[in-house]
Amino acid sequence: MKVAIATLGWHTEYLTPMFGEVDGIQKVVFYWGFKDKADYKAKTLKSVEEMSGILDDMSVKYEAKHLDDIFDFKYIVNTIKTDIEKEKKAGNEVVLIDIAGGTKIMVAAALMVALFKGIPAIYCDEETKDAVRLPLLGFKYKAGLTDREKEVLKFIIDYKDPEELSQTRLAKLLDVEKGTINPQVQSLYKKGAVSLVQSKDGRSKIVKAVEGIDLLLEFEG
Amino acid sequence: MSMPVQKVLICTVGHDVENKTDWPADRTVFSALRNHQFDRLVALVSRKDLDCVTVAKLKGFFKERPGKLEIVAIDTSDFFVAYQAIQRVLGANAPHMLCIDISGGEKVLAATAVFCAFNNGIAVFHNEAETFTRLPIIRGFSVFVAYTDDQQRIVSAIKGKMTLQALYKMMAREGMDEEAVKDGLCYLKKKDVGIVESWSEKGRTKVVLTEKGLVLKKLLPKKVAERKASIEKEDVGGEAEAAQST
Repeated sequence: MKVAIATLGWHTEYLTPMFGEVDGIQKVVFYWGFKDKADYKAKTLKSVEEMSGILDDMSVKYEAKHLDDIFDFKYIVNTIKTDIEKEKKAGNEVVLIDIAGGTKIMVAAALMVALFKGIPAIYCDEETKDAVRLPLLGFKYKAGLTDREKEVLKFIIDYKDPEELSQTRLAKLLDVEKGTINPQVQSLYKKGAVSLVQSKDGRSKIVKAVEGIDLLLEFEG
Repeated sequence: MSMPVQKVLICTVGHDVENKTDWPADRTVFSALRNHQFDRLVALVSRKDLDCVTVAKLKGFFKERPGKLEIVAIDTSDFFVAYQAIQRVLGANAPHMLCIDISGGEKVLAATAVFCAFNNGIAVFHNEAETFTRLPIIRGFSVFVAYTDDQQRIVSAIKGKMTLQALYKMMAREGMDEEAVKDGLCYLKKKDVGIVESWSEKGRTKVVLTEKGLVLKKLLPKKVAERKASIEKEDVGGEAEAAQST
């Protein structure tokens, strides 16, 4: 079964052009959510109802997935990623990700999944309502890190007590000299993969993985 | 003398018709100014939003700081036009430390900026409804790093199906000799690279970009000189002059 993934905002017309992009979409998984204001909720629910109606009319199966937090990038990426894996396990093929609707963070999250999974992505031109296919090169973002940097980063991400991880401690835990680990930590810092924050006693720098950087390692194994 | 490295903050700015929070559009931009250290601000503004309140407020904010604000008008009615315009901004500011904040402006502008950022290895931030997000992007890792400057120039030069001789001539005009073109093509034609295809027709070698090659051509930033010139001529125009003269 051919499955399309989509992020839905208040306008269903941004999602319907996806049917012209790929033949025979049989199922759509679309994500929706709202902030707590009553009128936002009403507008979003109306859009979900409309979208469901359109898909019913087209005899296309669908799952309308509610997002608890439409501004939590990592949670949205993981939700979409898990659903794609579920579809694959069921023998379905995810043929398209439509990033036209929802919040900017929903759009960015769906785009990241498309880029990292190599799934074609489309955006809807707001004026012409035509689908615009985004040119994806299909490359490994993780190639931006050396193997050793990936190992060190993985260790930092998995470390259970991030408030305590100074460079000295990191070197000790990895059983290397501090002078050996320093260039790798500096390089990870320059590449934006870790942050260096002053420890509570002000005597050392704590190495912390940047929020969401684990997604890079997860995506590309 | 080379210019000192500056911290350049690139913000998407404009009137967000679908702002789903209680935050006014200008508040998202001013929160970006608060959240990032920067020497200079480049405001990416949808052409239709150039007269919006946020842009006026930004000009006022930078009134006493000439040269600190650059306003770049982006035509968001075409995704690829917008993409290349943002690529030009990134190229023109390449020697500096860049970061992009997509909290303000319309969604298509933000989506295009994020796409550029992923392709060029630029940090991206978003702040809305008190949620501060940094997208996981390896800073400095560009998707174009897999191709040398010569290879990128060859990809940019190939138009449809063309003879190798025509390509040689075209590249010679750009100062690239036949050997360099041959070397470049040799790599681009490799099976695992798959950017160019070649075949023989009536005794002449012809070349064409593959589907992947066409994608690369669309994404490739233009040459630095062109990028700088086009920013000065097309995108900034009177707006930049107005902003910088204040």
